Amino acid sequence: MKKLLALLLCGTLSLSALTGCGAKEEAAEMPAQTLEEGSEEAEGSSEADATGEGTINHNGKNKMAMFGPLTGDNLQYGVKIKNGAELALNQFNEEHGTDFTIEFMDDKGDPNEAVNLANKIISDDTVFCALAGYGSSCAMATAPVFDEADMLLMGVAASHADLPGMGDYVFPVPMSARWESVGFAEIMKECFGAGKLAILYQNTDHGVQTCEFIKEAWESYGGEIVVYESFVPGDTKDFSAVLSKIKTAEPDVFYASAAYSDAAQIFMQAKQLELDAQYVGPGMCLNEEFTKLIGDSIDGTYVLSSTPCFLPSVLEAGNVDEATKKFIQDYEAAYGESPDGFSAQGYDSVKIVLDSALKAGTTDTPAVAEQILAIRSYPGLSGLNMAYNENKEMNKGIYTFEIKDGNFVPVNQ
Amino acid sequence: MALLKLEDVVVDYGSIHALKKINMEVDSGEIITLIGANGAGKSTTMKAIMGLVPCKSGKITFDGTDITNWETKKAVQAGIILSPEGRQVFPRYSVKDNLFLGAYLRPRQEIPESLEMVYNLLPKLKERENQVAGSLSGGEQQMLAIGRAMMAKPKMLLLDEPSLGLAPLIINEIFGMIDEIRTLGTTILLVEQNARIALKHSDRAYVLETGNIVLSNKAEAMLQSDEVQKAYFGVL
Amino acid sequence: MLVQQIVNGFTIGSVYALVAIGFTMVFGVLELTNFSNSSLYMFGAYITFLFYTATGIHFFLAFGISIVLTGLLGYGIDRFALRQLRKKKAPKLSGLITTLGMSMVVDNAIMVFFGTDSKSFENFLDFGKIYIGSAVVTWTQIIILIAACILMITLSVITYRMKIGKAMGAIAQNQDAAKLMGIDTDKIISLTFIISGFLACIAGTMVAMYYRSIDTAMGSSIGIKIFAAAVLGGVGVLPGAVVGGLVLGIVETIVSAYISTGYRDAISFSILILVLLVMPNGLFGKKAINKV
Repeated sequence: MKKLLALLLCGTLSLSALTGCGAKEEAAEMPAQTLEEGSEEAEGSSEADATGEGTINHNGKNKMAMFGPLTGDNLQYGVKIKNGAELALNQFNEEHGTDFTIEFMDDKGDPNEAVNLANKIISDDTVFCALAGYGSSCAMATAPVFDEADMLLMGVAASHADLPGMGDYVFPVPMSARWESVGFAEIMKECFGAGKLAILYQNTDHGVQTCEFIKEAWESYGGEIVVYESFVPGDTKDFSAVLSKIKTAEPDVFYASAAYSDAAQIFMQAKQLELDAQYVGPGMCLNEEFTKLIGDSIDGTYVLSSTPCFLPSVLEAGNVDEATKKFIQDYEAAYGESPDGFSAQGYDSVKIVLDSALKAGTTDTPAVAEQILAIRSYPGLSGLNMAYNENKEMNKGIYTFEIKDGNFVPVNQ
Repeated sequence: MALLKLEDVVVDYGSIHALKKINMEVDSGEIITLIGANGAGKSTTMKAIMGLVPCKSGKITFDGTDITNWETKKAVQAGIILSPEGRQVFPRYSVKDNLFLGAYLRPRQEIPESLEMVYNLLPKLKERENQVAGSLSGGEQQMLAIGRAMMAKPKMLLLDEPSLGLAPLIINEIFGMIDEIRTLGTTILLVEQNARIALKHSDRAYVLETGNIVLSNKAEAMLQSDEVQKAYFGVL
Repeated sequence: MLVQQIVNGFTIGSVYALVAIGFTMVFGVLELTNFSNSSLYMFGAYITFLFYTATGIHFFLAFGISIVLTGLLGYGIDRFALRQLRKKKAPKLSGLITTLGMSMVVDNAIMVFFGTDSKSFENFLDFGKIYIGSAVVTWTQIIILIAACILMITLSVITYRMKIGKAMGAIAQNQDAAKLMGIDTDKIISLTFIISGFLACIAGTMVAMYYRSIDTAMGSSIGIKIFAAAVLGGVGVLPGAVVGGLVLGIVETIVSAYISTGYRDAISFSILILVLLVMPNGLFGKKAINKV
């Protein structure tokens, strides 16, 4: 009896190892249900009549595959991106009467898992495009796989400067870290002068890269970097040590490159310690959770972003275009909360692919890629005047916000 | 009326039958010895009485009450105290603290009296009052174990292998104390591999062989018996 | 800046100390590394958050309920899992893995129920700040330090003066012999877990107020620090846990400020290793005498 039990246990364990299940299985169960619902919805719309204006000959290759963190520490981003993507798909299919579908997969935020999924994706004949959901690490880990298979890969939230160079059909959707950083440095210079800058950044590919570019640009303007420190994200909430160090250096401007929860801690603690400087934060802060965390404790802080802010406070400030207003409405109606930059990028990534496929008249990768590359002044939701340059890097404008009364208010240049 | 009575007690360790329906009796005021070779089941008997191992079947009665499978704490409260095999003093605590722990269930006011009694019985302990128990010699630890047991003012004292690993002179000392304990009114059940000295100091004895009681007689008689001599006196 | 750093180090060190006390108590009594302790810390913070935000009750009432519930969870882990293992005389490793498993269950349950994004947490200990030279010290920090001291003193009195403390020590040295003294070992072990739970909850909630936020990584990020603090101070020894926690907090802060923020943990743990090489039983640990 005991032996039988032991055998059963071994069998179960081996099976779960084979299917790549992690310790977070319990958490995986819940989102998996919405996952099925999502693709079912998308598949349902394929029943619509195929009488649209432009026609696309896809020969059954009408599926996109998006992988992102639907479980684990970053599931909130994964979900927002997925929602945006789903909305774009449904709206496109409705408008053009097409039958595109999208399959959402969970990479758990793990590059190894992402590669597993990538291998599955390229063996599926109905898929013509892959989308890497969150961050650069999963996108970059899978790029070789897709490049080998000559499949289109969109890095939905991958801003690493090296990504475009990893394959002929690899496209980032966000702005390249290089140009974004240069843009940030320029704006900080314009607003506050090229004086003493202190930088605190998270020790990730993104953090390291962006701040290197900012430092380079800042020094080229004749500015001085007085403190340049990194931290390990998620490791601690206590930044008082390094903040005291920064305080002693008496910077004019203090830039923190961190995820919104860490950025909130950094700035709140800096205020507690009476660190006097102009605080500047990155676009990752432009969401409701951040505003809830900070309250009105860090008013006067600037936030720079290459993706817009969709919070009510920005809507109220006016000068938001119709397309954005509609997006916010539609998103809120479908998902019960405001979208953010990630949702917008999820939306745009799908729309760019589908619009390009429409122009090309086919879903064959080279043709679609050609159209994507030709994008200029694209009316995307996730940025101003989106365009790809010859290196497949995305270029757009930078939005500037100031925090007033705990809300983001656009600053007009 | 027997103070302690074991009726058809069976104890199993998994598939090993450690005690196979044993029957024993200890009357108030007696010193009874349980002798037997290694692995005969002597310690198991003690543990069964104290509730440290479960009885599969059978009945253990103490002072008229059925105490079969009672929680150890209850047995201690009822007045049965075991000084276990290997002494098992608390090595990091002092002699004094060990003794106080023996009186864990007693009311605070009664402790000084008990302490005095124990020190009178075992003067060496008083000398080493504050010494850490782990640094005592084997004989001193045995005295401590007994003293600790006495602090609980037992109606019945169970002693598991008090002579184990001790020099002959010390063993004599210990058994002298056991005699004294009887005069204080405590009944004693003794388990020993050293059959000769145990029998010399006991009233009656039982012989345990692989879980069965094979002999039961007055200690005097056993000392003279050829059978017992051959089987057990070699083990000195 | 040094004064500021020391103040900050003391604050974070006090939090480590509070949680390390519970951890070291369980180790002291059972020789068990309780991995679920840091999960209870997170649980406590989240439950306080839940009761305070979901119902309209007064914060300190929510805090009180959370303390009770966390203690109960600690009790539950012992009663329904660890006690059964003890009964079956399972090897120590089984207990360790069980606490690890429990830790994952609690962590994941919280993630599923609350979501993984950070939640904002109001600070009810915000009474402003005082200045020591150029250093800013908030009343929240002072209260945390005082609370840690009070709890440490209370527990020390219990374990070193009162009978129950002696009983805990007896169980630690020899569980069977302790039973023979009439000590209800199961009850006292349960009590140790309940106290662990109380302390973890208090620490978790205070930390939540100090940083004004809670997130689902707070348990795992503090777990290794607690272990390190307890070992540094001499595992099983109560004042050791406190000193270990404070020392770790201060070392971390100083390293972060004067050497490198990025390598803070690497350097802090290297220092810990060096200390242990010189004093293998930790600062307050005693070598076990095993002549029995």
